[in-house]
Amino acid sequence: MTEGVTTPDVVVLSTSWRKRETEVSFVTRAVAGAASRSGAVTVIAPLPSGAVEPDGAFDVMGIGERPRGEWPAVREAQWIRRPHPESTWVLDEPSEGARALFRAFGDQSTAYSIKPDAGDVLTRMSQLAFVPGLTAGSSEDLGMYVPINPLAMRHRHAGLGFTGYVLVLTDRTCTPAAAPPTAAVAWLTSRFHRHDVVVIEGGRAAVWRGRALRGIVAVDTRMDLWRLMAHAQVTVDLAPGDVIARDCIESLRLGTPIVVPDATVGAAHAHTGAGVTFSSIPALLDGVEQLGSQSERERLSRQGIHYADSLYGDPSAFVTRVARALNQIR
Amino acid sequence: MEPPEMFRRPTDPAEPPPPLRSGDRITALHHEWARMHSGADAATVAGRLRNEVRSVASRITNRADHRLLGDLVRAVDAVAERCDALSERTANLEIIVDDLARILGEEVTQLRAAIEGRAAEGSAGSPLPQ
Repeated sequence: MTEGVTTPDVVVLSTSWRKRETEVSFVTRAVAGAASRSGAVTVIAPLPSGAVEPDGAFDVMGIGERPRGEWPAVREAQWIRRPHPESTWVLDEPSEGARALFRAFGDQSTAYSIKPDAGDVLTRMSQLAFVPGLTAGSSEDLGMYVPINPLAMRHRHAGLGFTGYVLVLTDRTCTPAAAPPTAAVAWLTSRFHRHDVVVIEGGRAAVWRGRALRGIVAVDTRMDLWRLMAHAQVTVDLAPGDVIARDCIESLRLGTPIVVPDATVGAAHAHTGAGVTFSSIPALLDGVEQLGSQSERERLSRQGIHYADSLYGDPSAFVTRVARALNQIR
Repeated sequence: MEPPEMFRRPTDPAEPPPPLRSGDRITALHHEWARMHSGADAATVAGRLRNEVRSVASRITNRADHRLLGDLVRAVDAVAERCDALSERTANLEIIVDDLARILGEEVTQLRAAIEGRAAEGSAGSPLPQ
């Protein structure tokens, strides 16, 4: 069912498109949106062949699918419109199936990946660089547009009667906020007995102080999370996102320094002077103690806002950088 | 290394209860006892005379009850005083417990973290304990 060929455009091959809760989906949609400002964008997702699913500014098209949302084999792929040979390809997760499709249908094209490509060197693919210093030999630093609502800085979360707490974004998944806390929180509330430690987990914020659970409030919206970030003394992200560490960027844009594990995407943000990193529990405790100093906190807060706003707070600049990066290979 | 144990209850000292002896009920009891002895209409000679007669008559007829009432008032006073003293001691103990939980808890946590740090240095970059 290969009917005609499109003009050169951007083909986004995305397995994450419909998994909106994931960071890679957020990034893929942002890249597609930015690319659409300077040319046509075709979004392909694992859907039954011939299926067209309207989604905002895009029509998501199917070329076939395998169980568990995997790409079809090359010989099974059926395109509504076969991609132009000179199209630019963007693969969000360059799995073997995605790379095979690109090799088969993107002969003269070059592809960019959003997540790191662990594939063979024969595939002409480089990773888009959303975070400085993280993807050597890739495109120029694109940054991203990570929106926040500045009004979050005006009013604290309605469920908390205090500010200046240590905000912890948990490393446990699908766990309702409850006792006992995750290990890092147990160490933090034991080391800083008088400090409030607010843990975001399972859509709720659990407040710990003096090793005891004081209460749980709901975190229903992104605005709730931004308010919690904006009025924290420091944000400890125990498991930053693996593409851009979106929560870290939001915290920095809201003026709250970050404490993140070494060797994560979040650490790349912290290394710009907007936070501290840790590799062990003692280093975590030291990092939080360091940010207890008002002057140090203010210094890192200023640096964080400058860094995050310049690279992640300007949608026009992001659109321009994406267009420039994708045009490089046309 | 295992993370520190959490407390099942906060160690914060509770707000101490108001003193019993200066409370409304015991103060009212004292006022009533005093009024019974002084008489309500002692302003005039006739009033004082009436009170005196009533008092003598009362002592003759209800001597035992009168003594018992006096003893009761004094006993209530003593119990209230003891309650206030115990209350104060409990409040002090709560403050001490909270201080101990904070100071010792923080110091032990720091020590354990330091040991963990040494161990991590020894094994060069071990991951975070879960």
